[in-house]
Amino acid sequence: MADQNTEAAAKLEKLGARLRQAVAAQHPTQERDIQTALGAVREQWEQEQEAQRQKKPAPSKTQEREPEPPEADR
Amino acid sequence: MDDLLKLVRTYRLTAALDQRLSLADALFRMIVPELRFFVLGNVPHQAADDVLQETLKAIATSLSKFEGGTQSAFWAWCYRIASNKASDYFRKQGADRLQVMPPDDLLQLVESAQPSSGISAQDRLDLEYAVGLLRKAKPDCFEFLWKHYVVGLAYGEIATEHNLQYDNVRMKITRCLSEAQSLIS
Repeated sequence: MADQNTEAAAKLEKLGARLRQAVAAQHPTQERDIQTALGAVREQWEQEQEAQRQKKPAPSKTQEREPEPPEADR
Repeated sequence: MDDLLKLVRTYRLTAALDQRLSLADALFRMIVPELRFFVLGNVPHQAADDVLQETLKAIATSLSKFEGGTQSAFWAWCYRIASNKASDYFRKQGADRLQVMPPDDLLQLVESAQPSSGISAQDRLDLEYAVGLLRKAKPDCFEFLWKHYVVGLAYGEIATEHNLQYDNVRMKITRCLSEAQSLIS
């Protein structure tokens, strides 16, 4: 039974390999598919940049350097 | 380490947009054919393009968060996303999952891509036997045999997808294969 199963499994796997070849031949990768993915990469990158910008704390007012007072005349 | 995983890891560590785009371009050219095959086995032919596009967008959006360390973990992650997108499709259509690639059409598909002279007599017998097994399998068995042997998903990947134990999946597939063989002979 185990041998029969192995043989049957090998035949199903062969079918899988042939179908994979057939699908690849009938549907070669289209530029549209790649551009869809790249568009999503760009969008994700922009969101990450925006999130980083928002994460950066606003400069604290107390730390802002005040202008030096003019030197007193001697 | 294989090329695919190298690309994924480098992508994860890359911050510059132009480099990310270049890595993603190479990566998606490697994975699109396999994903298309997977999607075609999960949704009707006329919906495959849309489901594939949604899958690619989702993978691209989450790629920098993928944390797996092996090629098989990466593929399992991609298949899970594709499977979710296929489920979304059926939910939106209000339709049940059907056998989207009927066994009777499989040989025709193989032959359409290759002239019949390109298939040896032995291969033809083997392919007909394999199609016969799928034709005889009960619907739930068809799905498991298809996913494991034809698509090439590991037991663990199927177990995760169906929320089952690894051993239950392994035993079910063995049982399904034996049953189909007994019905064919």
